[in-house]
Amino acid sequence: MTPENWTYLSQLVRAMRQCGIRGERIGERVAEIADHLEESGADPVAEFGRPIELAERLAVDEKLLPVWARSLVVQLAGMSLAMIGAAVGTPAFFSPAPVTVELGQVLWAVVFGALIMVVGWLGVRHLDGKSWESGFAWWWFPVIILGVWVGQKLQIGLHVALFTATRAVAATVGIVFAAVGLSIASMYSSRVRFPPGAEYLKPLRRGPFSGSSKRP
Amino acid sequence: MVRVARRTDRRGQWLKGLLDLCLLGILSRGEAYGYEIARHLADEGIGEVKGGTLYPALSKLEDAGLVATSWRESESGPNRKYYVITEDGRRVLEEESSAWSSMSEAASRLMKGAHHDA
Repeated sequence: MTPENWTYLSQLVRAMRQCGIRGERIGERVAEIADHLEESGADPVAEFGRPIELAERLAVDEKLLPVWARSLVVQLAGMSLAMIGAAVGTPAFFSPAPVTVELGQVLWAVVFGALIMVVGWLGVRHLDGKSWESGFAWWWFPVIILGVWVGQKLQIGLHVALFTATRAVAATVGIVFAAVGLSIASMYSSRVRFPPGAEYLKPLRRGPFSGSSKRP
Repeated sequence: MVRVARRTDRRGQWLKGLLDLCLLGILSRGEAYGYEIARHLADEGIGEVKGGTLYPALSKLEDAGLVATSWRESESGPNRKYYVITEDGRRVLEEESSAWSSMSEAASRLMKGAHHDA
C-alpha cells in the first residue's frame, strides 16, 4: 500500500468514526476501498473525494445524524458530565467541611460549560473560511471551575441540597465524572478541514484521547 | 464552454437516475466486485464512474435487498467483496428496464421529430 493510500484510509477511518458508522461497517468499507485503490492505481482523492466527504456520504446512506449534530450532542453531553464533576469536586478542594452539593451549582456548571463550549466552537469556525475545527480546549476546564466558584460566591441558583459527602468522596466523584466527561467530549475533537490536497502532507493529529495511529 | 458544461451536466443527471439499474444489469450477467463493475461500466460506454459514486450506489442496492454480498480471499491485498443480484433485484431490473425502454423510445421519437422540423 502506498503512503498516500495509507494516509487516506487512516483519515477515512477517523472520519467514519466521527460520522457514527459502526466499527464492522468501517472495516468492510475500508477493505473494499483499499482493494479498489490497489487494483486501479487511482489517486484516492480524485477517485473517492476527501475522506470526510466520503464518510458523510456513507453516513447519509446509513441514515445517521449529520456529523455536526452528532458532535454537538456528544460534546454537550461530555461537557455536562465534566462540569457536574467540577461542581461536585471543586468544593472538596476549597472547603475543610463535608461537601454539600446543591442543585443550583450543578445547573450553573452545566449551563456555564455548555456556553463556553458553544462560544468556543462558533468562534473557531469563523476564524478561517477555508478550514475550521470544532472541539474541546483544555483551558476551558480551569475557566469553568472559576465560573462554578464565582457562581457559588454569588449565590446563583437553587439552594436545594442534592447530597452531602465527605471531601474524599466528593473529590473522587468529581475527578471521575470530569475524566469521563472530558473523554466523551474529546471524541469529536480535532475534526479538521484543509484545502484540497494539503491534508495528505500533514501528519495525523493526535490528542490524548484520540487513540494511536500506527504506520505500517 | 457552456455547451460542453451543459452536456456534462446532462450526462451526469442521466447517470444519476440510471446508475442503479446499470449496476443491476451488469450483475445480472454474473457476480462481480467493485472495481470489476467500474471497468464493465466504462467498457459498455457508460463512462468512468468514480469509486465515490459507485460504492455508495452499491451500498444502497445492498440495503434495499436487490444485491447480496460475500467476501472472498484475494490473491493479493485485502479480502474482496463480491456482489450478486438477488431475485428482488432481477424483478426490479425487469420492471424498470421495460419502463425505461418505453420512455427512451418516446423521447427519441420527440427528439427526432424536432430535428427534422428544424
